Amino acid sequence: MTGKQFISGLFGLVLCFLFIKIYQHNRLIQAEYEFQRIERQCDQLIKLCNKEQIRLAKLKDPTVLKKRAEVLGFIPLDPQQLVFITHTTADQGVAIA
Amino acid sequence: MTQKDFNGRLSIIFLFFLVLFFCVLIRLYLLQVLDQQFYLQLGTEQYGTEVIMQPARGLIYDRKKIAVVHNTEVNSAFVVPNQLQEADALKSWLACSYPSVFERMMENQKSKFLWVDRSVSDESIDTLAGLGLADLLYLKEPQRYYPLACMAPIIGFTNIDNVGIAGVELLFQGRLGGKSATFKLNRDAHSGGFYFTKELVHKGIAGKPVVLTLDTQLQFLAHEELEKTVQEFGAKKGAVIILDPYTGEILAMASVETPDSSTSEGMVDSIKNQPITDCYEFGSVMKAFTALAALEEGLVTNDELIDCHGDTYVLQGLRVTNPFHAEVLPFIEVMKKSANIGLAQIALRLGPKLYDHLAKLGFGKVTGIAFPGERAGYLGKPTQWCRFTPMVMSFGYEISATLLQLAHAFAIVSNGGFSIEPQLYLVPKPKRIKQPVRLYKPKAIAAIKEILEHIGSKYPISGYTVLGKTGTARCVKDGRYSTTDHIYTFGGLIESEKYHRVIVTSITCTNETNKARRWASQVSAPLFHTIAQKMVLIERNH
Repeated sequence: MTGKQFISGLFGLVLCFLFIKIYQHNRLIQAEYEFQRIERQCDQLIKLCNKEQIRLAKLKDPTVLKKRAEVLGFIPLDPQQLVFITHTTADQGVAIA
Repeated sequence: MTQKDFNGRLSIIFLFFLVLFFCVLIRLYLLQVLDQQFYLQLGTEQYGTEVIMQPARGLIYDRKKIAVVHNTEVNSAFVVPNQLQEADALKSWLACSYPSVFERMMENQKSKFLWVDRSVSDESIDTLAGLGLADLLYLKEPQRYYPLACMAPIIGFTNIDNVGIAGVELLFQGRLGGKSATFKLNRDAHSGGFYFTKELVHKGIAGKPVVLTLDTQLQFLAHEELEKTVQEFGAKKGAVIILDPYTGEILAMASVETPDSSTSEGMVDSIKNQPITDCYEFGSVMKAFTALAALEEGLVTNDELIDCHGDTYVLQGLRVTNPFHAEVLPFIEVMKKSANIGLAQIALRLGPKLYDHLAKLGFGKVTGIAFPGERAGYLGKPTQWCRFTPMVMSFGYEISATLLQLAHAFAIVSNGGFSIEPQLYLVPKPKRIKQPVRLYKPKAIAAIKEILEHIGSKYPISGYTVLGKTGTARCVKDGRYSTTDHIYTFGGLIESEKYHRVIVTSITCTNETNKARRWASQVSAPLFHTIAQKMVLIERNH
């Protein structure tokens, strides 16, 4: 190999590495942008989740549930209608029908 | 053209390019070396930016891991005064709709940011957007949403900057709020919000959750029943505490206040956590602890006959009146009839020891719950007493306490005489909890429970033993004991083999006429009974 060929080859190799480096750099930035896009999507999903949680909390609000139950014809339970069977009940001699 | 001419022209062109090259070189020197700092700064400003990222605020959960607060976003409107495109239109609108903002903008027209309105509803934002003002910009700000109104006095709230300023939000501001992280971003002009490098400058800490000992269902139950009672009796306010006497965990802590729109204090009162911020002289309910002290000291037994001297009696110069006529009765009946004269005699036997016992039960000092605004109440030392003090203290005057202190004292009775510390949160783990210490002998506890069961039998719950003591006391108004303002209290225990709960209820009525004179057995005791009945039903289902 002559000196001229060697220098040409070296120059070609440097050029090749340079292009590879540029390609890698662009890929890195592309990946970084993609990552940011996913991050944003994740943030959006968290916000959506928070909104849904609030909607659920509003639906589960005991006051709302109570009103809906009343509309449906439910009446509040009278706790005295219930007899719990425990040792104390037995000691009190409560008759259980 | 001769060779000589050609060489001459070539030299001129060469010289021209040489001069040009030197010009470029000089320019480069000026740019890269002499003015390096200036252009470096200019470049950094153009594509480099520092971003502070606030972490999402930690959530607050109840003991069943139900979120009692949520994170949400609200809209806010702002302008950039130094970059206005249609300044005249904006200024005329601001001068009309937001005069204070207009004034601030006119004072500093070169400022880079100015809020117009914050926490604006979606409807208002639509209206603002409909105005078509190009300089009016919007952004989303984090805010808290509280789904349960009954939890409000405990959870507290955050301010417009999402910083806790009351209740648990304030107590755990550091934990919930976390720490903001700072990043240095490099981005080009065309990448929109995207960046190509991100460098961490300050590491942030994410907001961590807090788990309370409260049970949402019990809290709602207590609040709902309390609200009904307050409305029924036209009361000024009321409060309820449900406590586990073995762990000290507070399961519910409700307070209701009838809003007084005439004063600004009314607004503050409605968000106050009354059971720990308001101190009262609770009256006869304190007789339970006078009796416990006397039983512990062996100064009385449940069957000892005590002369209650009818209706009124002068004892060591103090005129004492019984709420109901009472003659010679066994001590257990003296307690049931809540005879002041009987208890005053027992207090005289106790003397300064009464102070030791009340202090041992936690009166006169904060419970250690570390909630913002907790008060210690008042328990005067024997050196500060007058000769009447033990007598009036025995039936709940000259001693003021919070409802939490009262619940704490009843919990000691319920758990067999062991010390406990009331707890409001499970996570973060409370600081080292002291090992329970026996404060009262089993014999004294058994005797006081017999008395309380005798009184509590009026409020039966199938399957459970109910113990309790009522208290009707006059409130202090304008430096005197009022005849129209009363506080009705009930301290109750619900027990079965493996189930123990303490419920303390109090209702404050003002401007009552004598005709409408009531007793705690008519006001706070039925409230206790209703809550207790429903509570056992809820807790059996879990």
